Amino acid sequence: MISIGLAALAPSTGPAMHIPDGFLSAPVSIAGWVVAVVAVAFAARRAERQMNDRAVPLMGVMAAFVFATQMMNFPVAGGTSGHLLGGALVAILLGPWAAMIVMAAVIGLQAVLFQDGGLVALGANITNMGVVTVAIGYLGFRLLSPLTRGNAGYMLAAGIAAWLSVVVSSVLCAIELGVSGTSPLSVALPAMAGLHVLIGLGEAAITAAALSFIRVTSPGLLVPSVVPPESAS
Amino acid sequence: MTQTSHRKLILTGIVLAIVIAAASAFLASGSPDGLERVAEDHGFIERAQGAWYSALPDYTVPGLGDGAASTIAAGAVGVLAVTAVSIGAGALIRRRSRNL
Repeated sequence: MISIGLAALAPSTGPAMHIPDGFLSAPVSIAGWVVAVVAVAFAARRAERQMNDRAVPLMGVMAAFVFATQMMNFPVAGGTSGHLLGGALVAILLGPWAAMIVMAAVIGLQAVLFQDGGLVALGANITNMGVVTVAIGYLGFRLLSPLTRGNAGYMLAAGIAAWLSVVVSSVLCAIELGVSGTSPLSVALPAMAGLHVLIGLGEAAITAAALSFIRVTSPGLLVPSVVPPESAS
Repeated sequence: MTQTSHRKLILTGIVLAIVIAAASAFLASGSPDGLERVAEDHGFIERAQGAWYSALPDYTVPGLGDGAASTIAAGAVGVLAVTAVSIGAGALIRRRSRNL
């Protein structure tokens, strides 16, 4: 019994896994890089016109939070774990353009410093976890939040958007594996989507909890730190 | 927002993140994650190629072993690195926007 207790507390040596090199074919890897580079370059241009002073330190804080929280794998069904992706959370707080830059910085450094995710596959990892999650999370939240009311409604909209962002991201990853010939789509798609429907619940809970925490401790941060395009001078 | 409150915000974020990273050394699930599980179950995990170099592999610092201290140190390095790069990128974009 004691040994089981200690084993549960033992440091984990099997951390998160982003797509390693070898899983994606050359064309899929190149397509991933093209989408990632175009999206991040476009995001940088758009952020130029929309960022205020407060957005810069917040970008650092959100990068730190996403990086650290991605290390915290939580168990899901059947001896599998998941971790926060964070794209939806950062997009809701910083707007989509600054969020894509933050996510690309985190995923890029995970590959370069920690060998988490391959360097050839880095473009696809940024596309899946840094571009798609931000786009789906942001759009989902913007569409859903006007339909909801109050604190609970806000959290619900954020949670649903976060869940959807993870599921869509996993579907895209499955398509990349299928097109690469690594795993047939008929196998990869249900397997990836099935697990990420569950992992997405963790994403939803952490996203809603983090927003709730910020709402209580520093509500000023929830005022968008990016100026909406129409009111930018 | 003043320069001081910016600094306080960044410092708070770094401390919180390092606490989370440190806690992950003890609390994180060691089970394979979603993609790893699918790759194991459906027989393509062996296609994974390691990197041609390793800096802080598996979120550990070489020389510190693979215990909690190693994970905490690697996590702290990562937190500082992602914070610096993101603030750097943000500041660069912000400076360009001032020059528009």
